[in-house]
Amino acid sequence: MAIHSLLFEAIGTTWDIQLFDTITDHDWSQLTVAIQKRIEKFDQTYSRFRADSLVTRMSQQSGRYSLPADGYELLDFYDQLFRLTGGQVTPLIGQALVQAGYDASYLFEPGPISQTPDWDDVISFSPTRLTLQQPALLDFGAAGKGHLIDIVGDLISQAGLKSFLINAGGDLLQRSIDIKPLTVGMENPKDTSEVLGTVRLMNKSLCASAGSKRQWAGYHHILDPELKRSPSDVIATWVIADTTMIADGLATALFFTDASSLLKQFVFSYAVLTSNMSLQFSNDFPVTLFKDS
Amino acid sequence: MQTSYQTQAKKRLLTIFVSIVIIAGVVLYADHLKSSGVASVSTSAALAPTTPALPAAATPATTSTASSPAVSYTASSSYYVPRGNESIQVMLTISAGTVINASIQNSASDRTSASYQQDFATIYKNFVIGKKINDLQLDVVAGASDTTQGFNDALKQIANKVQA
Repeated sequence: MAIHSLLFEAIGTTWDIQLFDTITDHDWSQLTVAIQKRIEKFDQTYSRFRADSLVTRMSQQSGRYSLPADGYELLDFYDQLFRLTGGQVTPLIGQALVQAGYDASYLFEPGPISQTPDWDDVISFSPTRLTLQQPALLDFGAAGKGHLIDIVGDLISQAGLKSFLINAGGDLLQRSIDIKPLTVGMENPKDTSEVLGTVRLMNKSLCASAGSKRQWAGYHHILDPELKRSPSDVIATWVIADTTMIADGLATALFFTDASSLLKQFVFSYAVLTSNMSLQFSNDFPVTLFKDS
Repeated sequence: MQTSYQTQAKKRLLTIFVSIVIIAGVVLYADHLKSSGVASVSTSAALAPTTPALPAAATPATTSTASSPAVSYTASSSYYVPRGNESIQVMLTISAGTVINASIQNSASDRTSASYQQDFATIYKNFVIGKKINDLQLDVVAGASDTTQGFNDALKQIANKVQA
């Protein structure tokens, strides 16, 4: 049983933070304010859905921008994802997503999609700066939320708390000092009243990705920059890793690429569901599946 | 160099796996001949510095009823890589002469080996079926990210527009 919990909507999803350690009401209310302020700051930097964000400014003007302290880690991860997926996972997908209809006003009216520019033609970055050769609408949908969950997790840890769960729309970071694993259901993307199996999560992060809830006119929130359509062979992915950012980004990358190439760079376990309901998973993915009988 | 090493490593893993399948088959056959519950077979394990050792024994773990005897076999083997020895454990469940389940426990200590072993393990595919969430005891569910009310409203409006 959670001792304290916090439920709210932010960055386009629902958040549920549960605390299993004791904390005074005063400290908890201070912590919840700090968490929501931090999320607001993140949104003001990375959201392409708001007019006052850094990302929106970048879409209007080329040049050099100072990065917030958490920016380098995120960009460096995207840089790695870009190279490991042969350019299929890229923050430069932003413009194409808007053209497909996934825009700030949720219009969902698809138009012609332009060519996504190459990372190396547009972006260069250092630990403190990002330089754009041309104005570009960056989308951090693949790993931004995971990165934010890690940041919120750090805030909670820094407050001296050791057992908690952050659940942002089904992406999870779990910490438990008394080794209580979390039983997580793997949602069936074809029928969300069902689960396909259960996963035991223990002091790690689990992120899932599926096109089933953000779907319109044949598109979902993941877009292939080359083919200009949403991948349809893979219909859901689940990744467990040490950080939520890595789990989140790899869950998107698995829509495009085999796990083997990603395993050369990252430590993670995973499951991939294809449209014929075949589930492929690494042998260290802690899943229990349901079988006929 | 890297590629040939990778190919070799994969070949070795495949050899180990095939050996285990054969041994499990032999065990099952012996089992069948003797018509007794459980049998265990030892094979001579030839050790060579760069080739994988054959599994020393396939150990039956469980047996079930006579009508559909499903037997699990566990076998482990080690093989040599440039950085030292690695081992892999394979568990097979066999029923009526057919492998109905297989799992691999890898214990590779170096990351490259771990990645090859994992790569190999992913050849297993299961066709999955769903179970109603209400019938299960779950802490949370992970799938497509939950959307906000605003998003859902927007989607509904579009659906209405399309129908109108």
